[in-house]
Amino acid sequence: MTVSDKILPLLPRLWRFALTLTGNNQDAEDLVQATCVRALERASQFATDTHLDRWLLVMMRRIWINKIRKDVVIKRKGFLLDADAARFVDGNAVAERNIYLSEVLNLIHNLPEAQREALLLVYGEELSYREAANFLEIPEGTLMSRLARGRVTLKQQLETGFNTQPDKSNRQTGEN
Amino acid sequence: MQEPKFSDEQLVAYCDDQCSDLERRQIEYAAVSDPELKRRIENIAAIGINDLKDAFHSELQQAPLKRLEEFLVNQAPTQYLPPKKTFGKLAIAAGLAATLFVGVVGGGMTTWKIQSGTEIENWRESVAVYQMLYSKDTLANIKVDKSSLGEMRERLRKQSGLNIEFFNLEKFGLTFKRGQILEFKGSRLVQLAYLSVTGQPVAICFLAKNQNEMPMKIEFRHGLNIVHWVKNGNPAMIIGDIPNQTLTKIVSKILEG
Repeated sequence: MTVSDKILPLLPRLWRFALTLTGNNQDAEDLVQATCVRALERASQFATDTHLDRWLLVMMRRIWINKIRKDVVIKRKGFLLDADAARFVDGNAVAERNIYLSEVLNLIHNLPEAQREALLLVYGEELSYREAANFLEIPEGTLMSRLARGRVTLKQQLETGFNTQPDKSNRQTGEN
Repeated sequence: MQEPKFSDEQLVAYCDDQCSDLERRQIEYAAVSDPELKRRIENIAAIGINDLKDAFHSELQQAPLKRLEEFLVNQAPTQYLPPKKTFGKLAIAAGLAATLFVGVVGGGMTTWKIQSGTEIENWRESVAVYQMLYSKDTLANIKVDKSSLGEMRERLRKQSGLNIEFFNLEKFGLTFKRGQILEFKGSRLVQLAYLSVTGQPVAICFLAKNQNEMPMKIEFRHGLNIVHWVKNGNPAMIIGDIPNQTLTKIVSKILEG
């Protein structure tokens, strides 16, 4: 089985993480493609006794931080990207539970980047606190703090009402 | 103001069932008589773990899987696929890359192709789009086995029908890395890849297609310098982000040879 065969089933998770990082469909897709290209190029460096999914996610995050984030932030600054709207599901077309989940997702995507990725790694990728902290190269306490703040913010936004098409021009990418 | 007895970190661990039994009992005991602590726990736990998990899980189904799979499959069979230098170029290349069929000539013959979204008429444009995806990393790790160069050259000659030579360009600061067979609109195309001492990828390409003789000319495409010519009826080019002056010197040497 080739590396690309092994990557294929991981594509949805790669895309989800890319979307968590970029907050935009097109940028997420481009980030997945960049990660695939890098992974294939460096396939010989992949240690078979490690998890391919973690290897890819770490690689994706490095590409995002080192090469792409600045461009995306500049591009996004001051205006709302049309492409963002495509991510949000049509509330009339889905069941109540799905509406709620899509609202939760919208709120998550409006959190600062550091909180978004902490939530995704722990609740989406289901990493332990320690694994997620190692992944992000931060102390475990910092990770837990981000989780706590993220969840409190989600609750507050749920209570105060929120816009199902959040203004991405205010979307935060820095530490919080 | 009195410091809270339990930190937010402890409380999120409690909500996620990640704390010790002792800590759990302490928090639960304290919350009975501490409405503020109870409120803080409720704030964190308002959107439960299962809701968060389900929300993230539902997102998986929104992935544009068909496009991503197509992209991966089309890149896959080579481990030497050129990385994309910048995000902007990446997007361009994904949509624009020409119909180049590529075979790496090494120990075994591997072929793959870059699908074309947009038709590209000019072979030099096609090569330029392909070349701009190269970075130092693309070539840096390729180890050249000098003992197999003769065999590699013979394969290239046989597959392209061109009398290919591997030019020694060390005096120009270029190290030979590999030869590949590509295909442009049904014509075989040989790419000889070099890496400069400053980490710039450079390629010399020959197209197995008859054209009228032409002395060298200079072009600039996608941020890359090009010198191209036609000799013995075969179009050729050298491309890279190095000065035209160097490129023309290299071409002069090739044409002399």
